[in-house]
Amino acid sequence: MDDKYTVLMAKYLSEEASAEEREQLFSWVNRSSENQAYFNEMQELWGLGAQYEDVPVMVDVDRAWEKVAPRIAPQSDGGKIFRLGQLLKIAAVLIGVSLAGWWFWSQGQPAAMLAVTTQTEEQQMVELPDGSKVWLNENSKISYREDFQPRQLELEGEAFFDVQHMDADHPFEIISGDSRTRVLGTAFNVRAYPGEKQVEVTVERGKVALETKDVEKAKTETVILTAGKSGVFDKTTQEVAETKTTISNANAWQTGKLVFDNANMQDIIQVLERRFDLEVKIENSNILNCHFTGQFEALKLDELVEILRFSLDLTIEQENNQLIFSGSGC
Amino acid sequence: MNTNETDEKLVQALQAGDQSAFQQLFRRHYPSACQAIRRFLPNRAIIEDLAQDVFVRLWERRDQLNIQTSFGAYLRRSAINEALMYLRRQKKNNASELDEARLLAASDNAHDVMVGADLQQQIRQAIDSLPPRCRTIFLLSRHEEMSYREIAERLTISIKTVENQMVKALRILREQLGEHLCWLLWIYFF
Repeated sequence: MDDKYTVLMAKYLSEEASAEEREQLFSWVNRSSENQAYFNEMQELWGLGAQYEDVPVMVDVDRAWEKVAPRIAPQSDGGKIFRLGQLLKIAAVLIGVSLAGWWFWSQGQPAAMLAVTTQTEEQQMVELPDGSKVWLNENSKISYREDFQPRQLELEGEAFFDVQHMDADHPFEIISGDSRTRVLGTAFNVRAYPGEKQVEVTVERGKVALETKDVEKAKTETVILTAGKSGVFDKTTQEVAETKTTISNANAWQTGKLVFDNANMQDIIQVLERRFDLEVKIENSNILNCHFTGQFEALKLDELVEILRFSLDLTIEQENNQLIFSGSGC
Repeated sequence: MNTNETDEKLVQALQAGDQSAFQQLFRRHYPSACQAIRRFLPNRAIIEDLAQDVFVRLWERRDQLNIQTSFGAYLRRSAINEALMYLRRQKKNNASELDEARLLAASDNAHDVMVGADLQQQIRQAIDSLPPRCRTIFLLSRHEEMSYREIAERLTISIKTVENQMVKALRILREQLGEHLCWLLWIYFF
């Protein structure tokens, strides 16, 4: 049976067919009784599909509730961490007021840490107590003291920062594993996913210092990044360095925009692989000679692939998580 | 809170932060959340973990809930989304694990088929025999009324792939359930 019409039938049945496609389909169906019979069978089949029933699953609701209950209790959000240093500081003040009061207080009220976590496919904007803004990319987490004194937070994953009220006495710092990003200016992107070999910082406006967390070592291992520059911290060697070329489209996830300005293929591939969790395979090394200029407002893989295919005269096939580029190249 | 409260009332109380309302919703709907996930992921331990995550998130976002349908339908959709997100993560990690999971499920059902092969069981067997991705796509379209675009986005595949997999599903099902089709048609025509 003709493939094209089976596609149309599937679309018709799942209410995906356009008026034009329906017309095409019906004119084909009416062409012969054989076609008619095939179409009827497909409709029947679709009807039968509705009778699919799951194998009933047996669960123990009480046991499940026992697991869920502690996760929704106010103390168990993972955000409160008991810190001796903070306690002592507060205790010093309170001792003058009432020793007994402090004792009761310390039992129930440890100094609070706040944490914000995003899931897969989730982004979130967080406004910090000092007015600075953080856009968190998916699968990321920031944590910081509720009072945000000192202005320091920990990041796991990727975030874009817009820091307010810069002054030398109150630096703004981001700790990711063993790396420290000291903010000297305003807007920048930090990518620090635990599964990746390096921490990357790309600065949009202002100035940022990237260094190791170790204060002694940081005296030698520091790089100052200015607007438009990127730097990396290698987790294995613990070294920091400015990258030769700026990591392109580092905060595309936050702006939703991709900008390629005579970008070479390597760059384009890196952006595709990162932003869409894909692997790109090149069938002909001449393709790597191609350059591309263009701007995309919305990050849609389909459209991006279509435009690349068209403007670079490539054949691009998608198989599972792979994009395969073939063609004569440039 | 009264144990016979409607879901709607319970959701309102939940939005106001009432833990006991949340507990009642949990008791009432936890099994169906598991059932919805089971359709796409046969591994028992994972099903329950994911269903519990769905409820914990429901609690965490109680003040931002915007439920347009019934609570049951809303929860079912959330549970399926959770399952699909899990499938996507799996796809990134290790594709073959998924296939293995599906094979296990198929052998679960094999017993049913032997005992009494009525039409409904044959339909289940036929659909469960589809290749895993093909089966997922078919069920999302047929039962969850997701559009091709939505399915493509959820599974990070192209719309073309969805089209092709739907055709493949119909072809395989036609082979598997062919005799029933003839029989049904026979009734219609005579």
